Amino acid sequence: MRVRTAVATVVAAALVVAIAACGSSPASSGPVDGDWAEVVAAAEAEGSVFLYSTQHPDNLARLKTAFEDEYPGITLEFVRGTDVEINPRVETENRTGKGTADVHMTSDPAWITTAAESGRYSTPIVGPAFDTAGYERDRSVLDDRLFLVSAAVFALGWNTSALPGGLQTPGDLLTESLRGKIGVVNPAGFAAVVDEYRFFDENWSPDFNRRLAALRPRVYPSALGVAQALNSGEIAATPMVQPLVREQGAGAPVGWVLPQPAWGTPWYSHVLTSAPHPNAAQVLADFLVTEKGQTALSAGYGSALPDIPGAVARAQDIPLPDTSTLTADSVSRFQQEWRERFMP
Amino acid sequence: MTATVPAAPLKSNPMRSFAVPAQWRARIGYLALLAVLAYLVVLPMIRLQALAFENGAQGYQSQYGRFDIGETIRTTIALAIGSLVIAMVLGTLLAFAASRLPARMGFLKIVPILPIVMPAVANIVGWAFLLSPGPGYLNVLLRKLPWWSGTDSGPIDVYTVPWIIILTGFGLTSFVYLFVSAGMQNISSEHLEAAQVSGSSTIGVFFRVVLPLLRPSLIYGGGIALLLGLGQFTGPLLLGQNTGVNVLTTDMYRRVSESPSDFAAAAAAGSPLVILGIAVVLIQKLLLGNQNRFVTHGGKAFAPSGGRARWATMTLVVYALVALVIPLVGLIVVSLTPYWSGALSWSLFTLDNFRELFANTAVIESVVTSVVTSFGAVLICVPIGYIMANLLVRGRRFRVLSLTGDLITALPLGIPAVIFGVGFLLTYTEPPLILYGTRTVIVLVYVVLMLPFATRMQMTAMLSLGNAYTEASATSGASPMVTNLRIMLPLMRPAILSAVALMFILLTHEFAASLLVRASTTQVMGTLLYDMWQNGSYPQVAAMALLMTAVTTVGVGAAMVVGGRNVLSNL
Repeated sequence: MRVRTAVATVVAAALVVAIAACGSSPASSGPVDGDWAEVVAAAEAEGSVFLYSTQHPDNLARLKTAFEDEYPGITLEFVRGTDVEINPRVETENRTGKGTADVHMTSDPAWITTAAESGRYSTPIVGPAFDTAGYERDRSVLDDRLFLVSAAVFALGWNTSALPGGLQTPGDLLTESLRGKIGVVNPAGFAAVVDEYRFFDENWSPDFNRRLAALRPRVYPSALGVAQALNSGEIAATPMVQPLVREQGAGAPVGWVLPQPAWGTPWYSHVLTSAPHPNAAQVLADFLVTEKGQTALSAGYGSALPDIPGAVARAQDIPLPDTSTLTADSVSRFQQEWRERFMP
Repeated sequence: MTATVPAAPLKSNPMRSFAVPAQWRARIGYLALLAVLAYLVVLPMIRLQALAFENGAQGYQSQYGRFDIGETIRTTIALAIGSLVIAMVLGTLLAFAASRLPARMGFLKIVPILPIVMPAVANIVGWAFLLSPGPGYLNVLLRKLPWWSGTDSGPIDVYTVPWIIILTGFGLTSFVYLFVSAGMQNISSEHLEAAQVSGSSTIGVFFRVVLPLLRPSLIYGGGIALLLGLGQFTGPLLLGQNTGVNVLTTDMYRRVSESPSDFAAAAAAGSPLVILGIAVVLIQKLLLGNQNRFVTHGGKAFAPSGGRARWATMTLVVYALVALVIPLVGLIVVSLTPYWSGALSWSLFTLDNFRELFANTAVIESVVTSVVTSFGAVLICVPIGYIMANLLVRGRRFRVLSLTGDLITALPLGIPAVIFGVGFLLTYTEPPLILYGTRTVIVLVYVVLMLPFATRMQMTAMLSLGNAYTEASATSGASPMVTNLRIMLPLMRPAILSAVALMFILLTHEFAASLLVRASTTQVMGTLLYDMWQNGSYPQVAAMALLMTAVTTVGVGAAMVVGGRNVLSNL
């Protein structure tokens, strides 16, 4: 019996030790008070910075290269996910005080507005690039905390093998021959996508969504999933995909066109209060709105500075959707209607 | 542990009256361990329920007031029953086939277990690449047949409920096979030979002799497979999102992972599964009663003789093709192309996806995290399982403790891993122990998930050894420590190594609970693969799935080196 008692004690102790050993929290040095050079020096001492973003992984990979060229002492790491996945993580990190991300880039208008109003998640930005003339700080920064970095504009897309003639207008999608072959994004958890569906009915034709749903489209968790399904031929067309510049570059059989009018949504970023590298976070935030940062980020997207190569629009021209119509109640009501209609 | 009782009065220690009696020391030791286990297993469940009942059971109202809840429950039940039927039929057939294999084909017995080596996420995405209605390779081939030609989609749609059920059933087949083939080994070959000599055909033997004798294993294995089917998550999550297929577990995941998180509704969604799980565990306890009754002498006379049946070989080979080879081929083809497409040409093939995969530090870290957390959990689980097995087998003097221990260690088998994931996420993102984003929380949830395996497998070995060895050792003057170290551990080595192998395999695959407790920088292989799937990087998904399979295969290989070639067939 003694043996088992001893073993039991050892196991219990091992559990406690394991918990204590692995439960380390990231070291936080706190933001420095001082001029920009001191912030950069402190950032280099921190040595790394972590970004959460919903942008295309290729753009983020280019941003990493550009940032590390500019600041060789700071490593940039990033995680790409949808707003549905990333925003709850930011909330959990804030709640537990166990931050992983330093900077967060999101396109969820309801989340952006709530975060700007509460001020709970973000610290004020201090970099000099926000005050350059081209950036138009008055139009681009919310409450000194959330700042515009980019914008997505959504296109009509098609697979050129399945639909050699392509699409010209949104109405071209609503044809019986595309039954079961159209891809759409699930708006569950996405206030921005709810806004996008409303935009279709308000700007393209009053019963666009009803007719689209009648064609039994396939549902994907994000526009990136829709793009891949177009590449593979799993679907033939879509009303909601990012401009397929990269996919065409890789030789995929796809085409795209911006409809008139096209729906878009801006991307805002902020430095997180739970950032384990608060100074490096400020340096990255600043870099995002410099010409080099914008050039890295803007392929296929709208840019926050004028005359950025590869950009398809100017981010400041794409307004944040009216979040007064995107309350939690109205979004969840729409999602329920959408589900009943698109997934009966 | 009857042997220790007479030893106590022999001690003539003058300080004895001040010391805690040996029996109480053991009791306190067990109590401490049970308290730790109860904290891990039961507390998250209680916290979830408390939350679901807050504000006038708001969680229940929000979950069960949903417009699509009827559909979700119907799909959950259809998935559980449909996959159970498929798994029971296939598992039993395979076990019977394996028992009739010609001797030189004996190695094929391992085939039905091999799909366990291939992670469920890898298997599911492999099938998606084959049976997606548009570019799925098998669909492309089927469309070359005259009656399906002329269409550019179908005939099979892997994203629909029937196919999710079929693939889930395939996944559960290995588990049923394990239970049934264990039962099959206990059927004396005299029965089979007697039936054959009396003129019964193979089919007659199967239905009139084998099936009735297998009833206990079938009921037990069926109960477990039903619970596993009800808790299925991977198939519905990965395949169901295109067509809006929801089950209770995917509902739970979405409730927690979408902003704003609603833990109360998620807890309410899991309640029917928890209640059913507890009910099945209790019913099994009642039906089986005192487990010592099942101590059977496993002499050689009972070993079933091999057969010469060619159909048995064919059955196992076909199964290997369908369950393992074909999905692997799907993964390999997609992993070698720059983008997934039904139209293949040699010029497209490239190794870029693997180069990218190995250049990605997140991938390497996920492999390390998977291996380290799985190994850590196994190391913690084996001694806990040994002690709990001791308590269950020899703890007749601690009836209450033994019953409690039995229930706590059985619960994680009855309750789906997703529910533990949600419970752990809730419990360890709040004081007193904030473990969010650490590997510790993954290790802890893995320990909980593996408790039933660690305990049951070692308990079975102890039961079959009986008391003779320990009593002989004690009579010869060995202390309990010496008896455990020099008699029990060597005798149980094969069982322990089998348990280690099984737990390592199951954990490196673990997906459902990991998906909930992971953080952005603390990913295991399965969760990283899921992120790639969500981002639509299909060729990377395929490469990652192959990497995952390779890591597990290396693990199994290592277990075979340490534990001998029979480690897997001992499962």
